[in-house]
Amino acid sequence: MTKEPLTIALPKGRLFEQVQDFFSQKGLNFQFEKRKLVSFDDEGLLKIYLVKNSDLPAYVNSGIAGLGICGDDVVYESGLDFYKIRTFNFGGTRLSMAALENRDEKSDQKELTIATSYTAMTRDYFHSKGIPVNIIRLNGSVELAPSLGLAPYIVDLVETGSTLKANGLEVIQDLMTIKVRMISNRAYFKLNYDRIQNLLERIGENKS
Amino acid sequence: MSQQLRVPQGTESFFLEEAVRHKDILGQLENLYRLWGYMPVQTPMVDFFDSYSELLDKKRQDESYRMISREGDLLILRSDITLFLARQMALILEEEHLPVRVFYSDSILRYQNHEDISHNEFFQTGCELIGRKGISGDLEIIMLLHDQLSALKLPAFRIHIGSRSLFRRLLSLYGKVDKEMELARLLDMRDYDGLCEYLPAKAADLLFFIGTIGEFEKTTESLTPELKEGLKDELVLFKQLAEQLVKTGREDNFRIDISEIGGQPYYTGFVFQAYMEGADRAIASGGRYDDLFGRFGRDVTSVGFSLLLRKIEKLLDHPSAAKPGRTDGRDKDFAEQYREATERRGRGEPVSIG
Repeated sequence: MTKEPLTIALPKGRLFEQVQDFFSQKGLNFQFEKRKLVSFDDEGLLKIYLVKNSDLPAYVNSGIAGLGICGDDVVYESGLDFYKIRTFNFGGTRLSMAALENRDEKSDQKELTIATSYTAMTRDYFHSKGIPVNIIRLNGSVELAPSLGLAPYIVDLVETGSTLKANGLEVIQDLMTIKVRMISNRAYFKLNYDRIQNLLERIGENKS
Repeated sequence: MSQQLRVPQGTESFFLEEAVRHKDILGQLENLYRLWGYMPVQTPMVDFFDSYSELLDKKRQDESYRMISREGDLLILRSDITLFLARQMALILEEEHLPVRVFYSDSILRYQNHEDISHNEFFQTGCELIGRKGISGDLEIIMLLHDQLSALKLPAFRIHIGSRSLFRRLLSLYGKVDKEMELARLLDMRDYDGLCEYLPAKAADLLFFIGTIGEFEKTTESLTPELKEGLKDELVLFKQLAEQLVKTGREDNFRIDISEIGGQPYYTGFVFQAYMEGADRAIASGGRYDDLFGRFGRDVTSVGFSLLLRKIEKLLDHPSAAKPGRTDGRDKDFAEQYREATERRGRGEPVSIG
C-alpha cells in the first residue's frame, strides 16, 4: 500500500491550538503558512488539512482526509459514522441546558421550547427521556434567546459558564459530556491500520 | 424548472462513454462468473417488505424505499439483491441440483443524503454458492471475489476476512449472547473501552485484531488459555482457511480482521469486505449465511458476495470507449453507405451511418 503521509483534518480555532500543542509534545511539529490550509509535519508523516469544525466530518466521510480530530458534538450532529480511534484528555466540554436565572417557573410549558445549534443531540436526548421538545435552530449567540423571548431554554456547550452568567443564565442540567476524539474513515483505517496504529502508539492517550 | 433538474435520492442515470465503460466492466465481470461456472439470475424490482423486515437492520430499513401496493401490502424496492435472490431461489431450488452457482447484476435503490456524495450505491453485482457447506465453499467465493478484483486491475485492494461465528462464540464464552447487537455496535465503532465493559481486555484485543495471516498465527499462539480453549473450533477453521490462501500464493491480498463480523445479522460464518485505495467505503462484502434460505422455507446453506460496481468504476484505469467511425454521407446515398457500413462492421469496426 501507499507510503504517502497519513491525511488528517484538523478544526480551525481554539481546538486546533490545543491539538498542535499536544502533537508537538509528542514530537510531531507542524505550522501553517499564512492563509494556507494545507501543511505537513516536519517528519512528513502527516498531511494536514485545516477545515471548519462543522465541515470536518464531510472531509473524513469522503476519505479526502482519512483521519480527523473533533468533538463528539461535531460527529453526532453530522449524522455520519466513523471509527473513534482515540479519546483525548484535552478540549472536553459539556452539553448543558440553561435558562434565565430569574425565570418564572409557572410559565413552563408541557412541551419544552429550546433554542440550540445542537438540534440532533438535543432532540435525541429528550426523546430518549420520553419528553417532547420544540426545537428552534440557531447558528450562534444562543445565549440571547431566553432574554429576547425566543425560547425559555437553550442547549449549548458549556465550559466555564461565564458566558451564560454574563447573559443572566444558569445551567439547569447537563445533557452529556463531550470529548475530543480522533476519528477515522473506515475504509481508510482498514487500508492503513498499521501506520495508523504506529501513530496512535506514538501519541498515546486512551485507546478509545 | 427546478423539479426537472432534480432526481430522487438513491437513483442515477449515466450516458454515452460512461455507460459504455460500465457495460464493458460489467461484461468483464460477468464473463468471469461464467468461467467459474456461475449462471445468471434476475430478481424482481419490488417484493413484500414483511418478507425481509427481520433481516434488515434499522439503517438498511431506513435506506430502503417502501410503498403500498394496490392491494394494500407494504412493498420494498430492491435495495439488496442478496435477500431478494435468496427468497426467489428458495421458491425454485431442487435438492438434486445442489450446489447451485448463480450471479446477478442489477440496479438497487438506496436512499442517500443529497449532501453525501460518496455512497454511489446504485448498482450491485455478485454471486451465490448455494448448498455447499464448509470451508471449500467459503474459499471458492473468496477467491472468486479476489479474481474479479484482480481482473479489474484495481490500483490496490485487500480482502479483510473475519467471522460472525467466532464473534458469537466469544460472546457465548463470556455469557453475553443476549448483548450481541450492542457489542456488534461497539465493535463497529471500534469502541475499545465500551467493549471492555462487557469483555476482558484480552478478548477485546482479539476482536480488534487486523493483520497478515502470519501475524494472526502468532496472535492466536499468545491467547489466554481460556480464549484458546473456548475458541478452539473457530481458530481451527481460520487455520484451515489461512493454509489454503497461502497455498494459492495470493495471501498478500488478504488480511485476517476479527473486527469484521458482517454488516447484517443474517451472517453465520466467515465474512469479508474488500477495500481499495481511493474508495471511501468497502467496495465488496460477503460471507456465509447458512440460515438465510431457512427464513424463506428452504433448509440450504449459502455463501456469496456482492460488489458495488458504481463505487469503483470511476477509480478504474479502464480505457475509454473508442468513438465509432462514420460513413461519408456527402457523395453516397443511404443504400451505398449501408453497404459500406455493413462491410466495415463485418471487420469488427463500429460504424455509424452519415
